Amino acid sequence: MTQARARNLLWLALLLAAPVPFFLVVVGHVPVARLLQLLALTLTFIAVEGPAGALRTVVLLLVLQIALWAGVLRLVASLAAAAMQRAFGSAGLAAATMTAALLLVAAAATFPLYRTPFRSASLHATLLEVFE
Amino acid sequence: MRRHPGAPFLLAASLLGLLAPWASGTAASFERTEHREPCAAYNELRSPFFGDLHVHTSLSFDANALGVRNLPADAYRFARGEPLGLQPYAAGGQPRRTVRLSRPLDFAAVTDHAELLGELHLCQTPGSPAYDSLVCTTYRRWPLLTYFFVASRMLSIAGPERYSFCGEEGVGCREAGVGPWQIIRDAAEQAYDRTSACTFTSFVAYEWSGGPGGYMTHRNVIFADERAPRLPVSFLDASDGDKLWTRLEEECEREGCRFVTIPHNTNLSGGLLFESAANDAFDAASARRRARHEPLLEVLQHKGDSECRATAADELCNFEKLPFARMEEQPFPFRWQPPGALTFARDILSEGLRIQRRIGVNPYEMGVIAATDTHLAAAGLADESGYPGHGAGGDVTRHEIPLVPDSLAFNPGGLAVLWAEENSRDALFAAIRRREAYGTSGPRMLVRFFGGWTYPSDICASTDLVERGYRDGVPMGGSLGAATGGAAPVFIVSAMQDAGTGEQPGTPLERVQIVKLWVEGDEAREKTYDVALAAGAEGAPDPETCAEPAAHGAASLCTAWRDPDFDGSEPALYYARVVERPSCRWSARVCEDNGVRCKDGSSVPRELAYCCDGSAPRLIRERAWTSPIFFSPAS
Repeated sequence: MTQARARNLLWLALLLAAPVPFFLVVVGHVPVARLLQLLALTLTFIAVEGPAGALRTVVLLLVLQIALWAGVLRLVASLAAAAMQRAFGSAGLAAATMTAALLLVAAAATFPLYRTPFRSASLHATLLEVFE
Repeated sequence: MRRHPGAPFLLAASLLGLLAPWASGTAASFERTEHREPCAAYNELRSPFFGDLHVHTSLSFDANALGVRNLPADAYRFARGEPLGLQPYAAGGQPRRTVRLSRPLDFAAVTDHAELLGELHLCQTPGSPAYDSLVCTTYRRWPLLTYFFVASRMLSIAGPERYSFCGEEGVGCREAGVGPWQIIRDAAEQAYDRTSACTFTSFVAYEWSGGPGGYMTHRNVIFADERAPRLPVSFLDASDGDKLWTRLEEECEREGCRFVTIPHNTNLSGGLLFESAANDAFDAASARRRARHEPLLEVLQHKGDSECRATAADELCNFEKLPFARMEEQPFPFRWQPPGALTFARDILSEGLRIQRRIGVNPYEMGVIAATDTHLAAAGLADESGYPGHGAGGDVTRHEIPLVPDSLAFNPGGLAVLWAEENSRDALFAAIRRREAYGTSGPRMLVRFFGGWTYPSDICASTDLVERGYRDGVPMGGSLGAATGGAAPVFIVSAMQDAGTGEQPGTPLERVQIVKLWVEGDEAREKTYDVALAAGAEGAPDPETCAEPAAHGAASLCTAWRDPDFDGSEPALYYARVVERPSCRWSARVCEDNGVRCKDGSSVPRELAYCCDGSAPRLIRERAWTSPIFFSPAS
């Protein structure tokens, strides 16, 4: 596995599972993937019911936050991939990357790492519950 | 000035006319229109009735989105003294919090938002045409998010649009509002005590909630009795006050109902609730119509005080002020703006005097009340102690009990007090109409306010103060005609501190003030007079522990005050403000309840940092505001 591929894999894992703070009138901590889901939902609202109200502002807020956190997480993934390359060499990079990504997702699926004020169920949620 | 230190409650009660139901001097000021038993307790000199005319339940879209489950019947049961469960709810559906009033209310009105009444019902009714729509599905899964979407489209906008699932011209959603509206009406009917005990009065009511440009142009609509329109007239049906009154007039012509509207949160209205004198919007007929339909103004509620600007020379105006002028600015401190014109009661009342000077009629001849605007169905829960938050626009309580129950800028709101002969709809509605009403920031102080030309200066020593108050003058909300012989009017203020309860004694009074508003030329003027001061009232509780000092202040204050600056050629108005000695604000009580000791940093959780950094006031001077007495010069 190349370092670039390792970075991309880690980035995807972080986008899927790393809790990042967001602001949408209220604040919470969710994965960037959840913000993408909210963006898709908002765009669907616009497509079905039109853009009246604050939907354009919501789209803008979500796009800005998604871009910000995607960039930050990409940087984190790059640094992590480089560090793993140094620590494990090219031979061990694939195993180290897969292990790190799986651990992150497994932890997120097991522990309620997220604060999700928009859910009708509990405020704190695991990864699976975030997307319920 | 005559002061009554200590606790001479019997004497003071006598002065306030509470112990003289047999006395004569006033004719019944209301017409009996209802079929009901007469009240056993009838006081010609009128008694004070405490209540809340601004209460939301889970039928309001915003409250529902925050996890409120209480219905109008629950709100009335709570108002009558029963406990009320609050969200969050445990898995089995049991509420994790319970509140109860320390003293029941005498009256209340559930005022759920008319807007979205039908939409909410459709979204929660399986099998309804809208149940599986995108909006409803999203609402049930992510209620708070959908609330923001929906509110921005239908509540905080000049031209609200209904969703497509409402059908042609929104008829489906309008008609779906019939069910919840009937729930509101039935709950009011069931809560109304029609026996001779007259323990509780409820009103059929709702809130008309406009939000052009994000400014709140909200009015509560109160009906005199059980007769009301088939559906409430909402902001989607009538987009300004004038259209609202026209629609209500039409509906009530058909249904035989009578109504008043009570505007609130002028502090967040951007001045859109009232017309400026410069607009020439009124002729005499339209001004009279407005004054008839809108006799009261809500001057305080959980979203802040609307009496007077914090920048005014009157230092006590710096009280429960919001730092923003539009609700949607709340999360964005960099966008906070100072409130504009016609956003405080004094500005509005002064504007009314200016219009009166021009056209001979004051369209803003309004009295004042206070309310909670609770969104938890907790009618009248205005205590600083044990405040559970108001449930909307503040912290999210659907899931957890927050350490700090509300945004620090908010407060528990207040109460409305009506002076009436008995606790019935006829009597209370007549009190609203004649503006014999006052508001308090929560405590139940008793306040009489009379104006006349011939009261003697020693009238406070008289045991028939109230009888003479009515006989020789007018009570709060009344109008004084032209002076005779160039004399200045005399105002009597008689106030008793809140007697409190065994567990929670009331706070003594610090002072009584009279606020005078008048116009000079075309300029609005105001002046605040300290007319009665309690000796030794400067004591305040320990700001860190809330421990009360030894007794200071007065149990009651009474004075007869003659305006030293009276000019009989200009319209003017006078209202009294009765101020308690400082006490601990709800936010400081949260600090105390959580054991915060600022000298010990480890006792200060992050959420309670405000307890020690001075970012929230720790003390409050609770108060009451009477409705004004209006003076009109001879035309």
